[in-house]
Amino acid sequence: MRRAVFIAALLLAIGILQLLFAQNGNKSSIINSKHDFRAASAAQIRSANGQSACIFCHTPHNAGSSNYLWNHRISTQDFPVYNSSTLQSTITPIQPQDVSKLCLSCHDGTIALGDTVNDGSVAFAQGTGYTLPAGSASNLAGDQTFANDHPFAFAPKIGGEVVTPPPSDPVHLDRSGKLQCTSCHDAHKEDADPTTRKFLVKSNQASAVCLTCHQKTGWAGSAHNQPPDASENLRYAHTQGAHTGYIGVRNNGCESCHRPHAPQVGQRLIKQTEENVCFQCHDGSVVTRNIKAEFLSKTYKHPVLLTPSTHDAAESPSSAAHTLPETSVGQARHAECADCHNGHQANSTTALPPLISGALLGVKGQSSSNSFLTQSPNEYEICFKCHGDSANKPQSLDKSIAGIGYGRNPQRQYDAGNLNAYNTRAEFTQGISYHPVTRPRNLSAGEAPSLRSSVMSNSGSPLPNRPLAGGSQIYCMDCHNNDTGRNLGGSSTGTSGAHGSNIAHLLERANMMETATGTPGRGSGISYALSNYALCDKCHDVQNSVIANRSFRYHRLHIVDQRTACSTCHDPHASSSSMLINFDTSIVAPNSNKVLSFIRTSPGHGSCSLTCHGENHNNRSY
Amino acid sequence: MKFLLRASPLVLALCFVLVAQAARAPKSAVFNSPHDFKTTGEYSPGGASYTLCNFCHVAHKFGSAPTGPGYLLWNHKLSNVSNYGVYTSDSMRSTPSDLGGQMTVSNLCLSCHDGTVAVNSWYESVAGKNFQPLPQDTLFMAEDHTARDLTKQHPINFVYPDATTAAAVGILPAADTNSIDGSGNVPLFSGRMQCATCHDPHAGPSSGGHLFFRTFPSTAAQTTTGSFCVYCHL
Repeated sequence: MRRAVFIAALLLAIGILQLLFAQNGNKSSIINSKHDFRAASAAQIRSANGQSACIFCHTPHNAGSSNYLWNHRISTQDFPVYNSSTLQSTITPIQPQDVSKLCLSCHDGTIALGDTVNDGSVAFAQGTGYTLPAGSASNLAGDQTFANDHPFAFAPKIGGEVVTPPPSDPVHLDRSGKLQCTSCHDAHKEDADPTTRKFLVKSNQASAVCLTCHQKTGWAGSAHNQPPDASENLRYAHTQGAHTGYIGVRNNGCESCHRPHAPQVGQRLIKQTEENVCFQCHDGSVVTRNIKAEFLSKTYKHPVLLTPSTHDAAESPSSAAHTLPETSVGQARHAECADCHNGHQANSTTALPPLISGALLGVKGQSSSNSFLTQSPNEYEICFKCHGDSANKPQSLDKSIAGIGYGRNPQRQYDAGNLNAYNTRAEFTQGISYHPVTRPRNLSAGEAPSLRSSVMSNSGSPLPNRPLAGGSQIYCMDCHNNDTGRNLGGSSTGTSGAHGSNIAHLLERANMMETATGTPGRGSGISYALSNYALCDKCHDVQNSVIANRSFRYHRLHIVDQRTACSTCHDPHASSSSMLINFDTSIVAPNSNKVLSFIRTSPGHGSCSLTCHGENHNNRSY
Repeated sequence: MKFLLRASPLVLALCFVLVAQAARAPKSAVFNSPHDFKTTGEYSPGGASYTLCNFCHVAHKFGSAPTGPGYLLWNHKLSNVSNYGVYTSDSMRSTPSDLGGQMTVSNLCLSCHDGTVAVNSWYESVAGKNFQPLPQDTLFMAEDHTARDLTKQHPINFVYPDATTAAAVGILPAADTNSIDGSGNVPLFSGRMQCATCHDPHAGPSSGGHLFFRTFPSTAAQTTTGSFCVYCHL
C-alpha cells in the first residue's frame, strides 16, 4: 500500500514537472514538427523508414562531434560572414566548436538530411541524399553567403544599444558568451511562438526575441512600436510585406523593416532596399498619408527615389568611407528617408521652432556652430547636414537634370559671410540680417511692421500655437514644405514635410521670382496678385502692410506698379546687409556710377544705388 | 582451481537475490548474448563448460590483484587509461568526473570497451573444458564496440541533477539516489549515472538485442518518438 501511494505521488510530481517543462522546450515536442524526420511524422520533409526521432541529430556513443552528441555529418563548407558599416562586434568564421555548426549540417544545404555518423545514410521521402534546396527558406547558404543572415557564432560586443539577455530568459548566449543559432531557436520546439513558429525560443510578438538584446533608444515611444492610429496599424499584413504571420506594425516590431535571415539588404538586415522598406506602409496602403506619392508626383523633391544612393547609417565626419558633411567636391549627393527620419524613434509628438517634432527624433545633424550631432535637437541641424558645409554643393541646379533640381537660383549680391554660396548654415549664423531660424529675431515689431501676430494658414486663419512674438524662431520647413500638405493649415490633410512640392525651391506656397533677364538692370516683372506672394504673406501682411508702404514707402511702387518680386531685393535666408536686402544680380545691376548698394539710415529710411527695371538709382533715398 | 567450483554456486545465489529484488533481466539472460564467452563466438574459443561468470567475475580475489579491488568481484584486467575526457555541453549543468583511474561500475565496462585491454585478459585464468587456461591477452575488441573518447559519448560518472536543476534543463528528476524510476529499472550508482544506467550487461538478445538495453518503464513519449532517450530527456 505504501508503495502504491509512493508511486502515485511520484507520478503526480512527474506530471507537474512535465507541465513546467512544456514551456521550456520539451524534447518530445519535436514530434510532428519540421524537425521530426520519422517516416510517420507529419512533416513534409521526412525519412522513408526512420523510426526514431532522435537519431537524425543525436547518438549516445561515438558522436561525430562532442557537441550535443551529434550524429549528423557536419558541413565542411565555409561561407562569407555578416558585416556592416555600423557593426561593433567582430564576426569571425564559424568554428568547429560552435554549436551553430550542428544546425548548419543541414541548414547550409551541403549535407544530406539523412547523412548520419552512426546510422548510415537514411533515405528520405524526397529521395536518398536529399539536401535542402538552394531556394529553400531553411537553407541559410542557398545564396552561398551568410552575409545576409543575422550573425551567429560570435561574441556580441555588449554596450550601447546591445545588452546581455537576462539570466532567466529563453534567449541566451552560450557559455563562452557567443550568440549561436540556439540563442533564438530551440530545435526541439517549433511553436513557442505559435504565430511565427520557426522554432523560436519564445514568442516574438512585438519582437520580444529581438528586443531581449537589442534595446534601441526611443523604441518604446516610437510610432512604429506604439502606432498612433489603431486601424492603420492593423492594415499592415502579409500583402503589405508582413512576413511573421503577425498583423500590425506593432506586433511585427523589428521585422516590419528587418528580417533576420535572407533580407534584400544584408547590412543591417533590411527587408527591402532603401526607401522601399518605408513604402511598404507609407505609400497610402497602410498609413493613409501617402509619402511615396510626393516623390512620384511632385516636380521638386528630395532625390529619395534615385537609387542606388550612397546613404549609409555610419555617416559621420569621422567615417572615412561615409564622410558627412561631404568633404569631396565630386561625391554624389543623396537623400534617403533615413537621412531625416529614424524609424526606431520617430513619433507623432509636436514641437515649436527650432526644436524637432517627433517625426525627426534621433536624426544626425550639423549644429549651427558646425559640429556633428548624433541626435539633432533642432530641425535646422538636420537640414545643415547636407545644406551646410557639404563640399559637393550645389548639384543639379536645374530641375531638368534628373528632375531633382530646385528652380532658378538667384545670384546674390552677398553670400552672407559665406565662402560657399550655398552654405545655408553660414548664412543663417553669420548674416547681419536673417530670418530667425538658428537665432531668435532681432528686429523690434516697429522695425518690421508687416509681421503678423501669428503664422497664418493658407486660408487666412492663425495656425495654432505659432505666435510670432519677439524672440520667436521659425523652421526651415515653415517655407520649404509640401504645397498640398496639412502644414498649410485649414482643410489640407496631405502629408507634411519637405518631401516634395510643385513650387520651385520646394516651397510650400508661391513665392514668385522674376525670370532672369539677359541683361541685368532691365527687369522682367511679374504681375501683382497676392497669391504670387503667398509664402511671404504667411508671416508678413503683404496686402495691408507691405504694399500699403508701412515699412518702405515705395514697396507698392516696386511690387504693384513695376511688378518686382520680393526675391529681387530680399534674400529669404540672410544677408550681409540689413533688412535682408541682398539684390538678385540676375535682375539688379550697378548704377551708372557702377555702384550697387543699399544703406539703411533709420527704420523706414535709407538709400539705394542700382539699376533695375530700366531705372537708374543714384543714391536715391527715402 | 577447486575454489572456483565451490564459488560458482555462491555467485549464482547472489545473482538470484538481486533478480528477486528488481524486475530486471535475470543474469542467465547473458546466455547466447555477445557477452557469453562460453559459447563459441567472436571472442571465445568456445567449449568452456562451466566458467561463464568467470569471464567477468571471480568469487575470491587475493592480495593486491592487478584487477584492482574487489568491486563486483571483477575478474577482468582493468584499463590503464588515465584520461578518457568528459562530455560537456552548454546546456548540461552536471559535471562528469574523468573515469581514468577510477573504480566505478563503468570502469568495469571500459576494461573491455575502451579497446586498450584484450578481451581475454583475466586476473584468474579462465579454463576451458579440458581445464587448460584459455590463451590470454590476444583478442581485442572490434573498434565499433569501443568507446575510448568519452567527450563523444553520452556523459557518465556525473551526479544526476537534483529535482530543481532537472526541471530547469528538462530532465526527468530521479526518484532517489539508487535509481531514476525508483524501482531500480533505471539505476544510479551513488547517485551517479553510469554505463549500467542504460545498459545491463547481462540482458541478452531478448532485451534490446545486442545493445544490452535495460527495459525502461514505458512512457508515451518513448512510443511516439521511437526512442528511449526521451524517458529522461523530457
